[in-house]
Amino acid sequence: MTDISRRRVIQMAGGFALTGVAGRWLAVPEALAAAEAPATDQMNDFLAISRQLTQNESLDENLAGALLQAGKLALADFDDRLARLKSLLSEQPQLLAQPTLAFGEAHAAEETLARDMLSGWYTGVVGSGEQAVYVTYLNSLSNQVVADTLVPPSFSYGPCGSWHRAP
Amino acid sequence: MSNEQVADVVVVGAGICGSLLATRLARAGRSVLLLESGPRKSRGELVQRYRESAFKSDYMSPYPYSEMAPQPRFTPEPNHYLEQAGPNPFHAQYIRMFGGTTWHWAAQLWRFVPNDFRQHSLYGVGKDWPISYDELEDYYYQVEVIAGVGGEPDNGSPRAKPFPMERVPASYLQQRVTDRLAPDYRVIDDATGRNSRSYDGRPACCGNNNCMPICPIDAQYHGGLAAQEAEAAGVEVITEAVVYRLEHDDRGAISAVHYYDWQKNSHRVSGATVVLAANAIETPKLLLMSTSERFPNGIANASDNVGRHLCDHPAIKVSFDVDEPIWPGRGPVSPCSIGQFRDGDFRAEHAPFRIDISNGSKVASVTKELIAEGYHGRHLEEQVRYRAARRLAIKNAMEQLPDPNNRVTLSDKRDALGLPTPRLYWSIGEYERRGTQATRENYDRIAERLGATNVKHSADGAFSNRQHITGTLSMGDDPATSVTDRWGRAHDHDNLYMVGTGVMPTVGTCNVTLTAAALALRTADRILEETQHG
Amino acid sequence: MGNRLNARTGLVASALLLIGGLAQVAQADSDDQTLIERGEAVAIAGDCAACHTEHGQPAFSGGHPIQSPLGTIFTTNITPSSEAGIGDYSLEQFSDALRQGVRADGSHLYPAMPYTAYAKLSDDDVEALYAYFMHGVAPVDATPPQTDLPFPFNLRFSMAAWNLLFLDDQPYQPDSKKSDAWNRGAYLVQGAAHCGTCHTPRNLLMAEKPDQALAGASLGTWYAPDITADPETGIGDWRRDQLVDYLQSGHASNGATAGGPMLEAIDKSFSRLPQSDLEAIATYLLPADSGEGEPVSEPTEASQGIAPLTDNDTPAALAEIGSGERVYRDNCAACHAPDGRGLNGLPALTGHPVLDKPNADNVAMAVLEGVWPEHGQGMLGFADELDDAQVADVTHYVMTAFGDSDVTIDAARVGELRAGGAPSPLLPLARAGMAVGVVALLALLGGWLWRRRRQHRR
Repeated sequence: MTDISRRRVIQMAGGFALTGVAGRWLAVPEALAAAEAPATDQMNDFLAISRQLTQNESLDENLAGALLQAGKLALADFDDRLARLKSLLSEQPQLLAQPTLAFGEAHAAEETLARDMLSGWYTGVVGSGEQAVYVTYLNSLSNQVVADTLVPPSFSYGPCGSWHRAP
Repeated sequence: MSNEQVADVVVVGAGICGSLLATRLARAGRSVLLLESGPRKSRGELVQRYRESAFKSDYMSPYPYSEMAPQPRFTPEPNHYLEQAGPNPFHAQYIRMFGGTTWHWAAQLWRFVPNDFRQHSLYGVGKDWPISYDELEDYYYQVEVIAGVGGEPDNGSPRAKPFPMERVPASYLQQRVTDRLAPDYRVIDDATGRNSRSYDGRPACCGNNNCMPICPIDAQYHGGLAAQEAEAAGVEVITEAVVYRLEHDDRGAISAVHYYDWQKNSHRVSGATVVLAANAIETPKLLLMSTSERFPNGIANASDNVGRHLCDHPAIKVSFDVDEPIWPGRGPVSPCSIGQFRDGDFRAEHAPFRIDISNGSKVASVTKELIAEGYHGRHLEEQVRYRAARRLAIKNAMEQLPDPNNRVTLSDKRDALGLPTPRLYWSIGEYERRGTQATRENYDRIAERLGATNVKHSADGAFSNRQHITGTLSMGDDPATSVTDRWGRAHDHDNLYMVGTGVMPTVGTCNVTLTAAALALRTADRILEETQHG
Repeated sequence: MGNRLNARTGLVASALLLIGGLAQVAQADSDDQTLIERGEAVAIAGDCAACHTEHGQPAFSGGHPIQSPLGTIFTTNITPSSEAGIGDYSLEQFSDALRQGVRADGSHLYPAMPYTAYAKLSDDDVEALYAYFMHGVAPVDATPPQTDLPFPFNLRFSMAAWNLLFLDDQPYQPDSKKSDAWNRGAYLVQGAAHCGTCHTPRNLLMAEKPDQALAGASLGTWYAPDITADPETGIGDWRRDQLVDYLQSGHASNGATAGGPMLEAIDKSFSRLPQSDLEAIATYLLPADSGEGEPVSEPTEASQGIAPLTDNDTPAALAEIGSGERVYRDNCAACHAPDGRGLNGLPALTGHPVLDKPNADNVAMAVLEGVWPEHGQGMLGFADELDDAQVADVTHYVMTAFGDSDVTIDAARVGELRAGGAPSPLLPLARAGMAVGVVALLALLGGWLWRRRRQHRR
């Protein structure tokens, strides 16, 4: 698969967008599987920023790798914005002290990336519209944080009627 | 000729209505050919497509899309298959596939209330049906037995026999909402084709909370099962067969249907009887496309009624956070509703409606909402739990009066096979707007009763579709104001029948599949009667 | 007495009603009633209804079709109807049919009727069973379809020779060195419950091999596993309380869940036996277990939490999976979880005893047919959804990934299972028309004996 360059992967992704959801669904795993492994440094940065954004120290590293690959594929200007988000958060860690993100106009691009990263971790999907890429279902944090009470839809809650009792 | 086929009956559309009718005809010994424009997919593939979709909130996302048999699509971006020509957009969703649109539904199988059939006589609005509730009662029951329907018996629709299925146990959410809204609001079990025990080779519901878009264990009845049953009964089903023209003979009888396969080879199929079951937008489209010198406005359209009286339930929604955790997402997605506004003298003034209470998981939607609000870190996690536990979503099924100006016509666009796409005109009238106002007042009262915070109503003047498309092939006794007669036969063509929700003259206040399926079985019996000496 | 009871049977629709009505009459009737009730218990233990009551038809009116490659065998009406059933049978005739395989008219039964097991029944139990069938069952005058196998398979007399060779018609003799419970268990297992009918391998003449009792045999489709106390091949690693739970509910805390004909036997028979009988069966089958293991704690309502679900379902991971896992994820994981540990009270596959068998037939059969208990959660069958290769792939995946087994199955075998079994001389075992093979072979054997005798006379 080494002959499939990143450029080729993006071309494939473009192709999926044209053929619609059906093509996408079949080929995205292929594209992601074919994508080159990101550099270790970038992976470390991605994981560190993800931990800051989620305040979760036990993020799944395998999933982090998949989210990073998807980000590079689906989000414009990703590498550059990730680097800038890293500097911003190291220079102004207090930005994350507030309950909601507000990086200010000058850092709107970094804030958007922060939200996209949170979306990736929490919904298992990176990007939106034609560029949206599935990364995980069961391991998305939104499913994990309610996992003591809810089962992700399409998986069984239990034998018929088990939902009658109080959660 | 190799691309010619003959059958006693040719049915167009392998959805729930066409399949049930085809099954009955085949069991009575008729040769039946069932043509389906879309492909065939297994349940497992659909489950996979759902789980690996980037667009899980779109119920259409697991269903395959092809330019050869296009259908309305809204993600990633709208494909504008339906051209909108009216003041209100009509965002229909339907599935062109073996089994049809009831692949994704909540198996709601409601009967109309008896007064729905006499709307004009009783309240001076809308239309009366050519038939009564009593004429349909036994057919309602026949479909309920096929699908294994259970629910609250005292729901306004009298029944000669009890439901064939015991009701699915109420979720905690349903119990809490029922208790807290009583006695002003009576929350009842929906009538659903969902198993609470093993039935007809299908298991009891396991609460996968995924009735829409796809039940992974077939605990609920759906059109895919109906189509499979048709095949088992001896019906020959041809998928990826896009019917594009109805041919007539000198007497005006339908002599053949023509279809393209997905390689655009044309085929001709003739049958003594032809039944159109291709949904309430695609069937009128096909009739309007089938023009000839003798029928310049299309088949069955001498009085210009084909495609008119387009109705749905124009819905408004509300969502809020209840003041206690109720945890939607445990059990079936759509278990209960409030039915006390379905009938009454007020129908002379404003539209009646039913209020549907959702039990679908809200985890994904509150998460998106919170991220959009900028939440992150621990707060995000806490808020996901908080809102996912308390979020209640409600919508209505409000009757729309049939209006001849609301209609399906042909657009100037062409699909990949060169066939015209539908153009829709839809306008919501004052009667419905008054009904919307009444709904809205009840929403506020319900929200207050449940200690709601974070209340969000639909935008003023915005209506969403419920995919209960009716009216476009209306049955009636007067050929001047209807397309089909009381049996679903085209007024203009002796051997052409139509089934599906399009033949329903009015949309009522409940999901329409049971009524359409009951009518389809009734039409099947009529065809058997009419053709028994042929 | 008999006449009075017979008159009553005409008035009531079911045995239970009859018994209820009788409760109010004289002491003599009360004794009869006790006998009838005891007989009903024997009928339950013998699972007579499994074959003689067709779904939706009156109890014991027969007509249950047993498919065989040579034709359909229909079970008979054993209600006390004089014209269609066994109403005119004397106790002795009844006993001969039950324990000797000989009908009142002298003709022989096919051993689809497990009379070789019923031969172990005590005289007391036979008398009680007779009282039940004569007076506790409503007569039904409808005659079920007649079994009409083609020549030479219709030669019932050949069974006489077979009986000479293989029928041990001595009632069960208790072993005084063993406990009452052990003896009761042995009596049930060898007799009424006729466990060996399915679980004991058969020789070429379709007789159970006495030296391999309960060592496991195929029914052609489902596999009746080894239920000896062998800890490796049998159920020696089960505790008695687990076996009791299993026979009562179809589930046990070691992860076992019943399917196929065993589930039917549990629903119709074992679950209706008294607890003491189930314990006796467990004592007999598991003699080494003291029965004092950890008590099985059923999960209480409060403790039934939801187990978090995780899985590596990234596109890269999914791109790697094989066809069996693909089928598993899309069709099975909804209830059994991606890692096979079961979801929230739905059965786990990891470590399931069914994965520990010498063949994968039962897994494939469950995939094809589903699992359908009379009450409680059922499992969908996938015969219409999956082709033979897919069933083989997913069966292989489940056996290896969750059972750590090296036993596998191929599409050809799945095709045989789908068709109702392989065309083999061992096919028609037990209920599924084992009689056919017997008769075929015995016709030959009978012919050979007859010719030999004629030669000898010369």
